[in-house]
Amino acid sequence: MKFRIFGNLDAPDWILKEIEVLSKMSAIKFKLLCSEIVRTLSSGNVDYEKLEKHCAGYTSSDVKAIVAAVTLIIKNSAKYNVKPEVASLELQQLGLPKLHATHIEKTLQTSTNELRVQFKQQTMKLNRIVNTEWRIDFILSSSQLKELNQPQVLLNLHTKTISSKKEPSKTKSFAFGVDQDKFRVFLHELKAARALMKDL
Amino acid sequence: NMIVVLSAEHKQDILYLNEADISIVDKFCELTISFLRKGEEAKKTMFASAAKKLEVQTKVVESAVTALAFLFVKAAKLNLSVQEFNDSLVTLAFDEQKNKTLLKTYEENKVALRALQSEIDFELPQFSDLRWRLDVQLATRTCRDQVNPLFLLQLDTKDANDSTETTVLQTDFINLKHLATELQNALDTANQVYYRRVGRNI
Repeated sequence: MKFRIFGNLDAPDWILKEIEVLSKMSAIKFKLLCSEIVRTLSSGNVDYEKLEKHCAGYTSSDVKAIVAAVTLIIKNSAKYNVKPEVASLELQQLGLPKLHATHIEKTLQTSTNELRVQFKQQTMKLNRIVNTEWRIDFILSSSQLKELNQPQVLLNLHTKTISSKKEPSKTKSFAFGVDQDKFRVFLHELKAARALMKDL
Repeated sequence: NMIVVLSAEHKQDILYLNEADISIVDKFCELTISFLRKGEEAKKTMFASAAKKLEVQTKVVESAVTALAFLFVKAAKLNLSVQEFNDSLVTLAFDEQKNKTLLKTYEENKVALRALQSEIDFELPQFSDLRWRLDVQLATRTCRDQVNPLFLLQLDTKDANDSTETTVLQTDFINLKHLATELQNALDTANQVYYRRVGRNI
């Protein structure tokens, strides 16, 4: 069976079993759990106490499974941009009671856009340039030649390295000099690349 | 059938305990266990205060405790049974009560000691996170008008010192498909009958 909330793939087995457990939760607790999970997904901070409170009466491994299941459902629906009504229907097909599915639908209606913005920001990024500084020098002479009289561009690129789960991104600087002709070529190529980007 | 073999030096160190009271042996067992828990740093203060109370030199206390520590750690490492532990004590020629005390301390702390020992193991870097992104390369400096899908992978691994190493990889569709198939094969072999049998029998 293909489901939109799983990216047009089959539903994983563990989700089917967890939906059974979710169906037995009270509707109000389920609604509060959904809002708490949306908060976790958008801010990135997990409030373990609140999650435990909403899942009161279940063992610690059950709580983990419940939170994982609801997080997957909400995250996937935002990720694959599934319409809230479609998500609700598919969840009911999987066995979730109508009342719970309606809560999910309402949660998605209010928060899908916000979650998608957050996910876009979290997308993997390579090292990026955050700042460029330039300076033009005029070289008068050197140890090899008495009169050089060449201009030179000095560039200082500040890059932000990619961040991982444990380490935040660091700033690295690259300073280098480019002489006149090389710089002309460099600038021309960059302008060409910029023009290509504009055309998209 | 394994036992802990105590060298001549060890026996020399434990000699003090041979002549001591049963209650002192008891205290020495406790001291050894706290020494094992707290490590080298607390050594000086612990031994000095014990030596004062017993009116002997610190060195005597230190050698006796380190010898006992060796006995317990080696016994825990080899996972000795009661019989094997008692066999190891035979060469010390202690009386029955002292042997019983030593055995009792060993039994009570065996599991904790083995837990501590299993943590002192070298570790390979562990998988921490994998993020991916699908890009389409439209043009390069030398060749325009392309449509070239590329996958970018960010692999984070964590080593034993808790520091994360990030590797950025680039792959095309064919290589990624091959990678995925190989990893799936690896998972499937673990589910085969033979490997399940091995897993059950360990």
